[in-house]
Amino acid sequence: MKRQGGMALILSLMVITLLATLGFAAVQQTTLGFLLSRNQIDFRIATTSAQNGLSAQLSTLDILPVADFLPRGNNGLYRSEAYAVAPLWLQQSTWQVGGCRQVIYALSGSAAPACAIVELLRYRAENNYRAFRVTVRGVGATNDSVVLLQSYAVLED
Amino acid sequence: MAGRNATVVIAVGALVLSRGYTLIEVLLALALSLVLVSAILSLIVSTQHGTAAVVARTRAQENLQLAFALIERVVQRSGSFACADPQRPLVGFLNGDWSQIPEYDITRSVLGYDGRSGGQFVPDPTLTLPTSGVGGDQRVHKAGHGVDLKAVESAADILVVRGTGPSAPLAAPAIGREPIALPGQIVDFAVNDVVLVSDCEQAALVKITGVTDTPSGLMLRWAQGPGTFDNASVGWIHGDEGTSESLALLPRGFAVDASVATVITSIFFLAPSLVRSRQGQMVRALWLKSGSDPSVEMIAGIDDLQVWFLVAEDISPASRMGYFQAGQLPQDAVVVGLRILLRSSSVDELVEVGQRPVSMSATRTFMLPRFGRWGHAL
Repeated sequence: MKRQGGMALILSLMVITLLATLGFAAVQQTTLGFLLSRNQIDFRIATTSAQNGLSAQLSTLDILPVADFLPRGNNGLYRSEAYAVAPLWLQQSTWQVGGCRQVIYALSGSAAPACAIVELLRYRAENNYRAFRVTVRGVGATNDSVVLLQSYAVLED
Repeated sequence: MAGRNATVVIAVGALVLSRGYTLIEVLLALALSLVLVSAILSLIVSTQHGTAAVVARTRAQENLQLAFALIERVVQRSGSFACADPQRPLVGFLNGDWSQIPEYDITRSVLGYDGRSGGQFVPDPTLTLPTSGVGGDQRVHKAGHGVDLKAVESAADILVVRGTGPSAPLAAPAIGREPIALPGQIVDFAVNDVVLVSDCEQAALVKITGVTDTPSGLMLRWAQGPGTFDNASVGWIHGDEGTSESLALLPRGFAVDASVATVITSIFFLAPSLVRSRQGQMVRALWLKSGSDPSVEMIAGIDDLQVWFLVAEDISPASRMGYFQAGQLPQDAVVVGLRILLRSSSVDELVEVGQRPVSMSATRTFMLPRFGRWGHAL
């Protein structure tokens, strides 16, 4: 057998390893940057979706009949009468279909339309006093990005 | 023998060829090399400066965005005292009045101090802010946790935003002096927290003196004590001469629609950073004092903070509005928004801009949630 005296193979391997490492690092950096950007965009979409949903719900509070608010919920309308173990918005079942009120117009880019729950906290018939708590759940481009917004409103004649 | 002779001949030939370079050739080569190396070095230095400038600008830009995001997050919670607006009936159980307990004065959700030249602010923060430092603690809940006005950058403004933290519902009615019952452990309340119990028609401000973990949730006790930040035996009603011995002002008490949340006052100001620039220069930073905690440096390189208050004549949508500085706010002003200018500079000075930091400014307007109708993030 002829003895190999050169270093071409070793040098080539070293160069390939170096280039591969650099390439891998560049890909990692790009991926991280992409994930950061996507996360920010997701958060913005979810927030905007929730803001739009909240605005829509607040503008329609005065036409919601008091009788539609039930302790067990009625398509997202709840009457607060019993002390709950956890707030409604922390219960997963609240955000299932039928548990919340879907916003009609979904935000472009959002994985799902915003969903809202409206709680009638207190009602007095004499001056039609109604205290509401509105909680809206908006999602980003994926269902993993969730933003909850909450607002209170009091209406009376 | 023939092979050996041939080798000799070649060696002689090689000696003949290696006769060296002339002086002119060497000088020319050196000159050319010098030019080439200079060009390469110049390119490297220029690239390094360019990269440093881009990195510095990017970091300054990121810091600016981060600072605005931080302020926006706090402003989104401003005035969110659950459903209880400060104008609604409120009973305070702390011994001190609002001027003595500014960390919990929920009657004003936003306010500011206009920085003037000569280290002056308008209005005077030494009279109303929780301060610590040379003069000792003034109006501070926890010793040493106030703002040290000697360190505060006086050319910039101070911004104060008040709101509440995450809220928990009640697990049982609360009326008199009994402990406050909460379901589960939705929020981590601790001893010495000052909390607001509120529904849409009444509110009460108390200091937690004991937290008991029970199988059904938390029991918050609020015993009385002698200090300014301790609970009194009788509460005082805000905007009224009356007093209340019970937690609730209305006979029905606090019921299922009430919630409990920690009151959080956030104070933004500029002060020297804990770090120095690469050149050893002092760097300014955005600091935040949140709640009863001590001030914390948030973002180094923020070296200007100016605040204008968007003020409306009243809360109707058609009312006239205008921007005012903190020292010029009209009496009984209804603040509906904030306009904030920030300047962010690179921490290190850069050669290519004359041994100065790279700076950039931006201005943003935030509507307060009560008027922007966006609610607050949970």
